[in-house]
Amino acid sequence: MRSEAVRAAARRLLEEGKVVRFLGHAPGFDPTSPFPQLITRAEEAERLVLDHFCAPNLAKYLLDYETQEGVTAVVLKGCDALGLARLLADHRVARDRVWVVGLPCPGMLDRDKAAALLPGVQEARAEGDEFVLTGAGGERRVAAGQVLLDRCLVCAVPTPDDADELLGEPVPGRPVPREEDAAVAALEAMTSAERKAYWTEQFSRCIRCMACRNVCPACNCRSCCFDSEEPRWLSRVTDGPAQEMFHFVRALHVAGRCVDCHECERVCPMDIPLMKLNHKLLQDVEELFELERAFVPREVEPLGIYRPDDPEEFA
Amino acid sequence: MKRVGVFLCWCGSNISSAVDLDQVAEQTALLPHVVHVEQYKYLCSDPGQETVRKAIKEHALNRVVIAACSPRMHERTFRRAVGSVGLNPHLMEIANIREQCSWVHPDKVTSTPVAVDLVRTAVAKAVKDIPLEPSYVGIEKRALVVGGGIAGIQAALDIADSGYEVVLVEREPTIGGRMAQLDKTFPTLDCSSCILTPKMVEAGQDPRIRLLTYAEVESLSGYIGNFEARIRMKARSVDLDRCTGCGDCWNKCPYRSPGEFDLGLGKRKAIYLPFPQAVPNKPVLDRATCAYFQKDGKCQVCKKVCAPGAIDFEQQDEILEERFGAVVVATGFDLWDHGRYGEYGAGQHPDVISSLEFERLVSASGPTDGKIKRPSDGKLPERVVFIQCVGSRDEAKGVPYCSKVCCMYTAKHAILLKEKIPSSQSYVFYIDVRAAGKNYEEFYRRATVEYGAQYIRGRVSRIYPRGDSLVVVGEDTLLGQKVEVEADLVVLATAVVSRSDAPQVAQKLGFSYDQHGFFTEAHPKLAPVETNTAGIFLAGACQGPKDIPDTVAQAGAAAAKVVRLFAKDQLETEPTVARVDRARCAGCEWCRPICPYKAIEMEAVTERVGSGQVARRVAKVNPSLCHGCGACSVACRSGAMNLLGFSNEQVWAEVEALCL
Amino acid sequence: MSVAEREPKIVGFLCNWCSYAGADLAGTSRTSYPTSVRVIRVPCSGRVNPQFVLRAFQLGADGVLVAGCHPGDCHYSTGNYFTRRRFLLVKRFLDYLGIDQRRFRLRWISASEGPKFAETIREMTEELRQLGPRDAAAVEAHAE
Repeated sequence: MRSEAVRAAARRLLEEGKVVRFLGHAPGFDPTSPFPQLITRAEEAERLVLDHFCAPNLAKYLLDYETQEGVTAVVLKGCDALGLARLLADHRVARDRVWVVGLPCPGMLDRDKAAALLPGVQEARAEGDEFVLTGAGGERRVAAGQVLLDRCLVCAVPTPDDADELLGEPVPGRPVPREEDAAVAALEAMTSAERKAYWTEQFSRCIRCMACRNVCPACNCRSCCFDSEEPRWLSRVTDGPAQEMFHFVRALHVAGRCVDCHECERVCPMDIPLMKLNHKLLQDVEELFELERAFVPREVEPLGIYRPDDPEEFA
Repeated sequence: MKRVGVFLCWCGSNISSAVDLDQVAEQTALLPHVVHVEQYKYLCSDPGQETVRKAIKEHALNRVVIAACSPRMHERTFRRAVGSVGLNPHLMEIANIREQCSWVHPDKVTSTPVAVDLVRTAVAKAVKDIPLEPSYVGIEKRALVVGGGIAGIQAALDIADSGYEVVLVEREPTIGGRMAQLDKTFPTLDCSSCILTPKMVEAGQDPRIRLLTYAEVESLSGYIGNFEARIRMKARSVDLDRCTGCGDCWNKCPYRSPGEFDLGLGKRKAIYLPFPQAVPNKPVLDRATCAYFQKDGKCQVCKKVCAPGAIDFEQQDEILEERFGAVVVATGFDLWDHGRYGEYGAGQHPDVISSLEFERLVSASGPTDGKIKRPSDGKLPERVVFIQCVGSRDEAKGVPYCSKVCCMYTAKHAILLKEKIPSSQSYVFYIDVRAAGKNYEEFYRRATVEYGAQYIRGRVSRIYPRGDSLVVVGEDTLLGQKVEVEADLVVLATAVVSRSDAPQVAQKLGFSYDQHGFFTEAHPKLAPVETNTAGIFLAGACQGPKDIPDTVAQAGAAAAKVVRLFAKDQLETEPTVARVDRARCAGCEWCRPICPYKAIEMEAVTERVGSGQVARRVAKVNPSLCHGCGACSVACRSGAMNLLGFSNEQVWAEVEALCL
Repeated sequence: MSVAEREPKIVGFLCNWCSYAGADLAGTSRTSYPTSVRVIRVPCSGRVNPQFVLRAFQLGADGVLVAGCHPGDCHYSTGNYFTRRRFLLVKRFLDYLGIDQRRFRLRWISASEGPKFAETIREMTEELRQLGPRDAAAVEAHAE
């Protein structure tokens, strides 16, 4: 899709010495599952790709270079850029040490959806409102709605607004009503016991791989409370209460700070609907504290301020 | 190895009659780490404390749990007892089995398990106790007083008289403030200047007080005992060292403009002395009204006539940086702008004036030499209407609170009017007369009985001109009828409001203010002159409407607090403060906005990574500023920020022990 | 003892300056209240980490009470405003995870409100009794 453009950008930036390293994507074991790739020399630019499967958010890898010299270039989509904004608001990354190569994002494909539509899918290209999938099984034309990641279907911020350069023309957001509100509402409509049962079942699958935490741009602490020995906030066993504690704390620690990038849910190997937790909190933050677009990082997080006339329901 | 000793107090029979302490002792003895359990009839008594001390030594205890009354009662007592035998005082916990057990659960059967739980929880916490030490900081024994009205002057004099240096910063060219503008004071009718001027002179002459007039505090950083202030000395265009205050310059200056001190009722020159008793008694050149600066750069009359050569057109603002140990804020008040009352003429009618303007008219040193001449035509008014609560107690257009001083000064105005114009008649429209204060009610009575002021209970709905007089339309709510009074002059008791820039001042100096812009005291009852920032104190009307006696009293109190601080050589701070685990801290700074005391700063630390050194920023708690609320410890997701004495480990252990 | 009659267990986090003093006042005035509550003293309601609250529930608390000074009266001037914000969110979130929001209470109890503290405990105890144990199975397991 934009592989040539990203390679050119990487070559130029490294040759000019504007940056000392460039973070992009490279093919993984499977072309639908690219790896993050760091290059430091212009001639390595050939390794980079940028296609419709480059869903992973690279922003958080910037933390790996927080103590190293020089500017890091990073390829960011609109959603990823909010992740960077999060890191900036959390003072974890200095903006002048980052060169943002922005991708006006046409939407990324869900590799599971794609594989279901065309087993053995290797590549995809966009044609209007459709995608053409190709692979060992031949070629198949599918509607964008069938194959895009859920989050891309309702993406409000496809183009980074803070990029140092853009790979292409800005793409408008999709003004689609947020379906996740309905998912939260459906859970809210249950009885307390039903919800308890629902989450117990969901959490019981958790293998505590920490992928959700590790990918999350808001989970950017230097040391995580889950790794603390004293106090042991989280039991090492994975019984019901510990699972509940883990998911409660993870969600609450990003409450008012979640950038709604859905990466946690995308990387969860056990398909735990983590965004149902994040969205609940996001909605409540917006409603209770009268905020709009609470997923956009701001100077002070909603729980770091107060208003004397906040809702009073405790008396 | 933790060795916990548990001491169960009978409190006479207060505890022992309602709780089966033998059973509590028996169960407590089974707890891990508990090596000694003992009961005593009155643990807080001297022999009781001795029992604890003895057991600490005998059983080599390194943690102590006292199960007795509320820690709010005897925590200090037992900390001292424990400390006196060399155990760190913070290795002691209290289980509250009196107020929160025996006194509320009188039945032994049900209360005993509660006591067992509470003791177990205290043991669990004690096991996690760590020794805590207070920290000490030095104190810069100099005070900064911001604002040179009666509050600031009084505070400065009191502090200086105790032997400490004071810098008094006043933004006007002279000290004196509002009180200097007043004619007489209630309820004694002392001449305001006559009682204020000696204090002004005293402040000007005291070698320990350095007056910085025509100056403003730009910023304040640091903390109690160690503040650093940046003070801007505005260019006065007059060299104060050379100037003798002879007056040649302002006598010869050809340019006049409305004078601020007289609220525009009189004129002053471009180079002027705000009022004759000004301290310092030296002029200021107002560049905004000076022809040299505004027109042709020629005039220079003042410079030509100044024999000592004190006029300096080139003078620039100057920034002073000074260190202080404490700050008294006494920035005073403003008056509400009655222009916002359309029905009272929207501030357009010259004979509808504010009470402060009336003060200037009635003052012997005012623009009319004390003759009450009304502004429109200079006529002596025969009928004067005073209206109370203009802006005060008016949630719709003004402020909801009572301005406190208006009832009394209006009574004073009625008296002064009658004294100056014996044929006159005053009318006072009021909502309530609030005359609480020594000799205040009597004073108000005098105004009505001896001076014939006519009080009409009700609000004025409209003022409009008729011929060369004014018609005041209102309602007498006692008679339930409309009243119309024809008046020559109307005086409005406009609300006392905070200075328009009070919020910015509070932000600059670093303490809080309320929704009306008044500075917030640390506690409305028990810390009325402290702010929530340690080392910064309040005096006078910047904290809320106040009359002169209250202001002076508060200034004295603020000074006493400063002196109390300066009497120490070092400041001991409570050890139960927040502490950062630097290795864990990511430097996200989310602990900072939540801290009410600005106690958290960022610092750079360098660490070895691989073969090199890297620098990172981490949070740092200033123990002198931290009050130990623990809000930061919850804002911190990683647990890098912890609160000593109520640490994550301790509370976690308590929860676990309690729910066992 | 049937499940309904079982005394519920309430963990109360009380701020030192107002609510803990209020609970003490209930004591000094000999205002009796149910034995269901156990108090943990914290300097400020703003010190209460939601993780403490969930932990209490997980360890078998039927209800959790957080109490602090009335808004505007915080000893630390602003702590309880942050508490209010935080627990507005946490209360809903606990409920969302299946911990009935009636089991969690945040109350403003001043040092002079001993009766209010006692009344809060009575109310909560009654409500929790009606709700029954949070997780009957867990309670039984705990009892074994």
